[in-house]
Amino acid sequence: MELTDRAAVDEVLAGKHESFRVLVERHGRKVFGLAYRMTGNEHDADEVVQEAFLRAYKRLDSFEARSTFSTWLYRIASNCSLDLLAKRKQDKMHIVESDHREDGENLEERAIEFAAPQAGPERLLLSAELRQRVAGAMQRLTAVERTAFVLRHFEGRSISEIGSVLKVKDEAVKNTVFRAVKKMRTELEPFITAGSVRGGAR
Amino acid sequence: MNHLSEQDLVLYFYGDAPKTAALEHHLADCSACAAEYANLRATLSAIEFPVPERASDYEAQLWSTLRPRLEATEAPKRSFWAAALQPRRWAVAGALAAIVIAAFLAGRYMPRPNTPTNQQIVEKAPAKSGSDRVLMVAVGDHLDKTQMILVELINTRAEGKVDISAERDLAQSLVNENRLYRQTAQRDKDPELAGMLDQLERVLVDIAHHPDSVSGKELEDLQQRIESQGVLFKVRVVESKVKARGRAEAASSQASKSSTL
Repeated sequence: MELTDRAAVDEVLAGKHESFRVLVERHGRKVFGLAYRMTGNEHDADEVVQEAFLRAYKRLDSFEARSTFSTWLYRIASNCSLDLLAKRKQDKMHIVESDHREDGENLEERAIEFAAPQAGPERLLLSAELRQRVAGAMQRLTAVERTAFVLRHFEGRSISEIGSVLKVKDEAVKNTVFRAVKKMRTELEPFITAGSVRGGAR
Repeated sequence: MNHLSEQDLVLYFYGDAPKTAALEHHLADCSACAAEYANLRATLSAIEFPVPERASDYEAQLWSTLRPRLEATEAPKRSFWAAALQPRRWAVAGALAAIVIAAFLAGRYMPRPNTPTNQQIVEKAPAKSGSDRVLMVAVGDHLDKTQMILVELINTRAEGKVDISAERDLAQSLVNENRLYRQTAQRDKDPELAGMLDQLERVLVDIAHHPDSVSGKELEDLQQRIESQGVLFKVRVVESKVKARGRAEAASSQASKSSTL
């Protein structure tokens, strides 16, 4: 019989450390998806995945049965992503400072370019311009808005799960998702309703 | 029924609206709201952020990179106390937890002959470390929440009018908690924790005094005040020490427990 997440956690805590592999293999791909959407690029996403599993392993004794393992892991991965975004922002601020802020605009553009996903055959259907705009609009969300939006819109996580990731009440999550949607709409709606991508979006 | 708000429609789109039937009824009757919803749906449905495909052996690769790193860290294990306390600790949620902590703190304020310092509690009076651990867990959680606000504020782009009401509200709710922990730390003669909490309190009060939205310049000033003091870094350092202390005290109480059994 396949080992449940809970049973795998118990085995690791009981000393069978190899059982952690079940958790890594079961959730790795999903955590990558989350990390990618949070950070906007593959390199950072890989770093977040590693760090998230490492943190989860170290703190495995604090995982309690009240939430599912995947919710708990998502919470860790979201926090790792937020930490990395904060670090990247600081790095960027240093560069901007040393460039006397003249390059601020370029840096922003480079960041968006960097964040645009690599085109695969099926993705060619999606307008490249829309992809860039979505990436750009997401970069302009605050860290918490971005987390809430990624988890609700792309990952389909429930309001209460997001609440446990962000450590806020359901009402606050709803407000944050709404704020994020409002900003995304403001940036993207004129472009989408202009009809230039509607045909290609789905 | 009044027209539906944008927030109602967003909640409905994600299946989070509380009164779905009434909402659908209105959408069927009101062409203005129906048109607004159609717009919203078209936009939200078009927002995609495809994740690049991973290789078919991604899981195996991930495990092979992770494994040596895991082996290099201390293996997790469930302590007797963690196992015994955990379900209860988490069942005592929300208000109840606040009452327990408040009662516990009130107990600490009762005059005691020869109040021992934290260090002495750990070394000489293991019977108390269970309650100290509760405090360390509470302080750890508090620092976690505070860190979220600071990270959020530092990462917010300082442009135009910025809505910081959510962070401001959270900061307001954390100020009192912070004051209680700071006073306890001062009483326990823990200058490092007390000093950090004191600095944090000033930052939280600063955030709590802001209006719903601020100008880009105001936000930038606030960000600079947070960053110039290195508060976030200090919070992280102290938080990891607090958590380590919580663990150490759990271990020492376990040791004393097993020696008396």
